[in-house]
Amino acid sequence: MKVCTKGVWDETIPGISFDEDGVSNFCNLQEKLMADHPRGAIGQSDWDALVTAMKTAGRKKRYDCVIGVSGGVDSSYLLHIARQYGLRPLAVNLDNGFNSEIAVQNIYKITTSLSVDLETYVVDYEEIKDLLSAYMKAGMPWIDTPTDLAIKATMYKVARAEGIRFILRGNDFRSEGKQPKEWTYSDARQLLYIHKQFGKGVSLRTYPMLTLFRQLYAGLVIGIKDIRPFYYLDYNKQDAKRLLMETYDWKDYGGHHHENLFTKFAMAYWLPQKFGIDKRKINLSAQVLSNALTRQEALVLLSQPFASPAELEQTRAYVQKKLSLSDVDFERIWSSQPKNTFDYPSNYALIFGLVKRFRPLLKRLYSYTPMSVSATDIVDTKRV
Amino acid sequence: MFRPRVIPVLLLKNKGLVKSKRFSDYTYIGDPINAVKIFNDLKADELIVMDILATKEGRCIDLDFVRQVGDEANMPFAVGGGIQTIPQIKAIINAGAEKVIINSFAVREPAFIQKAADEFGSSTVVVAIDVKKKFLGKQQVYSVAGTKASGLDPIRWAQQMEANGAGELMVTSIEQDGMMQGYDLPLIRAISMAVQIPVIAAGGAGKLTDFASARRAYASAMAAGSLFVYHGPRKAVLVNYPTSDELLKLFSPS
Repeated sequence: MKVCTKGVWDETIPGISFDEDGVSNFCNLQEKLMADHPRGAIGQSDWDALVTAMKTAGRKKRYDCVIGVSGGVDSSYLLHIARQYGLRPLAVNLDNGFNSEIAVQNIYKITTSLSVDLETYVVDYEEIKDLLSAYMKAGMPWIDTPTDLAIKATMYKVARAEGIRFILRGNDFRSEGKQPKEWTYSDARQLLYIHKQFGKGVSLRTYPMLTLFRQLYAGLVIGIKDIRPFYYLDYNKQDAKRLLMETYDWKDYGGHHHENLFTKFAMAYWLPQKFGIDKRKINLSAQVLSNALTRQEALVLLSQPFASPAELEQTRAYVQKKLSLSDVDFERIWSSQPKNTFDYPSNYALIFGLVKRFRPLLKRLYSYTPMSVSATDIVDTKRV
Repeated sequence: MFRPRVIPVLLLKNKGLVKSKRFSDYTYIGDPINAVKIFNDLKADELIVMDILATKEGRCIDLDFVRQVGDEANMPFAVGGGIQTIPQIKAIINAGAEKVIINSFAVREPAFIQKAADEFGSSTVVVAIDVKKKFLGKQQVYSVAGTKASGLDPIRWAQQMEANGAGELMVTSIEQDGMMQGYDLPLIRAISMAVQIPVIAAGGAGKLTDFASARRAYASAMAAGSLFVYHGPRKAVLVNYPTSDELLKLFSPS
């Protein structure tokens, strides 16, 4: 198995290629992203300008930004940062029926102690259940797409309803890296298709849907800006965790995104065992390149299991029960053909076509080029 | 150290959890199993789960559902909704519940409480008493999820249920339900003083100190819905429950 000589990306990753030095295209992408989004003095001054813009836009309002919260380290720390810079965020949580007790407690503690108002959007569980099962039946790798799309849609929805112009997200490509689109790309069009093909026909009445049109409208007409503060500011997950624990009695929940039990199942059971996909390779590589870890440490971490077999079985059993899947149902799903994003229709070609053509406009609107664009540049050109 | 029990109340409507205001105005708040799991992890003293459509639809609460609650709940839990027969109670207990809660059928057939208590022991039988003032009238007992006035006087009814063998009474003020402005303390006090069996105060808790007030009105346990599922000024849906330290402090004599 060929492994990138600078990070720990390997041949299990779709679209990967290696140059003569054994450096992968994903590594080049990561380096380009780091160059495109500098931290330090430049990042700080970009961020300061954004803070001023947010405060100005929110002057006569109760809130100046929306922050999606999950109880996880990134979003919890983002709330902390926002308050530090004197912003008045409205925290928004999407409840998909799989929040863990730790997540819920973390959200409670941090919003209470920072006096941040919280808004929750509870999707009717029967709808989420039908969507998550449909993604599993479709053999999609990233089965938590319905949640991800709903979170994004909810943030836009709340921002529009409250007249808030800025959405802040806790993403950090320096600790997460860029996932190959075969694994994670999805959109509303694809969701509707998969739901129609594989769902039980539960009508989506409460599920928030961000269609391409609505997203373009929100961005281009209303001018809602989508910002990732950790692209600019120094952020180190381990330090952040420590600070959160000391300041807010925040609790650690183990693995990346294990604050939600379905996400944990997707990440630690479904992907590795059915698809041979280990997303940690992407995360850890990114951390190696940003000097948070050595390559050797990353390789050691990768050789460790996601969780104990007993814990994984427990998570599987819980998910199976919550989705009302019998053993026979689950067996059928488990043995079905693995698919990926490009096996089902989506707006991928359309969106990236648009984005490429209108890049200068996007740059003016969002003050940076969306990350996925740089990603297609590198990953796609190398593949052709 | 002894302290009164503090009990989250979950209302089931179809397959979802709802929270009511004055027994109407139902808001969907999510999946019941997740909420039970979180209350379990937060170490709630007990749980109460009621199917609010069961009586109206002429059926008993779903046993599979009770079993699923039992799977996630390590603490004792009581279940209500459309219970009318001894075999139903037996099945509910077998599915993992510790107690059953009966309101409507007790009003229709008070002798059933005696039968149930004889069969399963008083400690299994909780009678729910939902109380509201009829237009310009006195407070009286309501049944069928607050939709049917019975003409019964709450205090006399409480005494009759005690005499029939009820092990516990859950007294809910319909007017205070979901308003988060405190329990109907005169009602709780009057009933608690009129009977020997434990009284669970319900309907209206909006802050932890409301529990202490109910305690001073002689309630043995305090139930709450909104307080444990809503958070902050925007009433975000976020399951929460006080820590055991907070509860001890709340009920300590000083």
